[in-house]
Amino acid sequence: MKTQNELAESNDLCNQLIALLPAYTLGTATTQEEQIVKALLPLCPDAANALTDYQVIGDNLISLYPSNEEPPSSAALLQRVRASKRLQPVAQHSTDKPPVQTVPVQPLERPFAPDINHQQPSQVAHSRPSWVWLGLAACFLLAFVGTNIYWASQIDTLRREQQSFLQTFAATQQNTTLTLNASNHHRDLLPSDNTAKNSEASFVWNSTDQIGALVVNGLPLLKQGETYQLWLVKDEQSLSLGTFEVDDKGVGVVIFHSSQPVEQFSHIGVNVEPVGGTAKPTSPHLIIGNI
Amino acid sequence: MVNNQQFNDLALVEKISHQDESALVALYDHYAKSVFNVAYYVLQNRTLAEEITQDVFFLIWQYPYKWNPTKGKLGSWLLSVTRYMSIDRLRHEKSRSPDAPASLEDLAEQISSKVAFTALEDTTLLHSLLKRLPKDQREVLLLAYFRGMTHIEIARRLQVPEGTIKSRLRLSLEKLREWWHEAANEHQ
Repeated sequence: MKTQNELAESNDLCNQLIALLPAYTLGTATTQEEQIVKALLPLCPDAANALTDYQVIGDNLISLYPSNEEPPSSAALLQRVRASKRLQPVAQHSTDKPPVQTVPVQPLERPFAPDINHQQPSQVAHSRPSWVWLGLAACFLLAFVGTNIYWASQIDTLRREQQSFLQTFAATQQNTTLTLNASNHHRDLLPSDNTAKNSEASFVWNSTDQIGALVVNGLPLLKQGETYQLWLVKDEQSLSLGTFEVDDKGVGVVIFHSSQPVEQFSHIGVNVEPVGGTAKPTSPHLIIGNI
Repeated sequence: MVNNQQFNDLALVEKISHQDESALVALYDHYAKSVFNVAYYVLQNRTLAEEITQDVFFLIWQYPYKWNPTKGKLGSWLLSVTRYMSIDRLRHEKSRSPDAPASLEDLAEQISSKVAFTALEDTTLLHSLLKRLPKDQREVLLLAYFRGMTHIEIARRLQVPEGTIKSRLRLSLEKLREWWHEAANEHQ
């Protein structure tokens, strides 16, 4: 159950999200803004509805172009197509389907088969070439079978890798959705250092799955070699939840999966650390919030 | 629902996937004018628009299965791809970056993840709603949509604060949405 305070904070986030939707719809949002929209969208159903409508409007604005010029003929396109065919004769024509390894099967022949009726005894003794051809044919068959087995195993490996990737992707997507569903907790972080006096941050997490996100705004850009790091803190104990960068407006997002329950800690904090992060905080927190 | 045009598009794309040049020419004859005009409107340069037109059709020649017929019409998809590629080219031309533009293969990947399209059967309503928008809001909307300009770029161009651009853009889409819903309710 959300408190009135949490609802109000959630409305603030949704208002921030709604302000970003036009640029997001029209494809002119920055990468950071796109990340914020994706992270906050499941929290704000009204914004999600608005986005669907904006997208239909946006998709159809394309039909409003006012020009009426004649296009060039297809000759240059065909020239390019034929040039590409010459460069990539068969296999490069992509249809998004895996290439199938095929080798045409040739009928086996005995090219110098002797005519037995006309053979002299001495010639029978020299009929070894037929064995040579049989041997070659056997080698060819072996190579053919071997190549097919090799490619079949390669395709199988690729399929397994693809399946594993899809499973990982689905798990990540599920985590993100769980993070942002209705049973979230939400806390705001406040500046604890003068360098971050204009910053604000919202921290949301799901206590069932111990996953969540931090959205910050107004943090100063860092020097090269530095990064922001998000921490859970209790007394002397600190647990890192990940590192993040901010854009030129000080906007940044980090999505985390905590190895320990967030509720066991008393504070959330963000400080500056060397790129790659550290195991323990080495500088004071710039923004901090209670859990 | 698959209509006759979509059925033809499906058949043509299927033939293109088997490297049938006549199918590509048929597709080009049908859609080249609208593709070229979107590119020309975005880029304001005939030579660049011709290049983009060729790139769009070459992309479908090389990656015919990037178009998913269950998601929408081929015509709408081609125009969305054209807009995306034109804006990408415009940004590259503006930045005069020494780096080469993204390869067609990279673009195909990016486009398949970014281009969504829901085509309305009739866009006349949208035309009339757009005309109802105040000029300053319509201008900002079209600059962002067709030129791919960010808030800051539009603010510099129109010499107004960035916050004003954001509100104009937001108001324009909110109004279009509101009027669109009103029109739909009146229709029922």
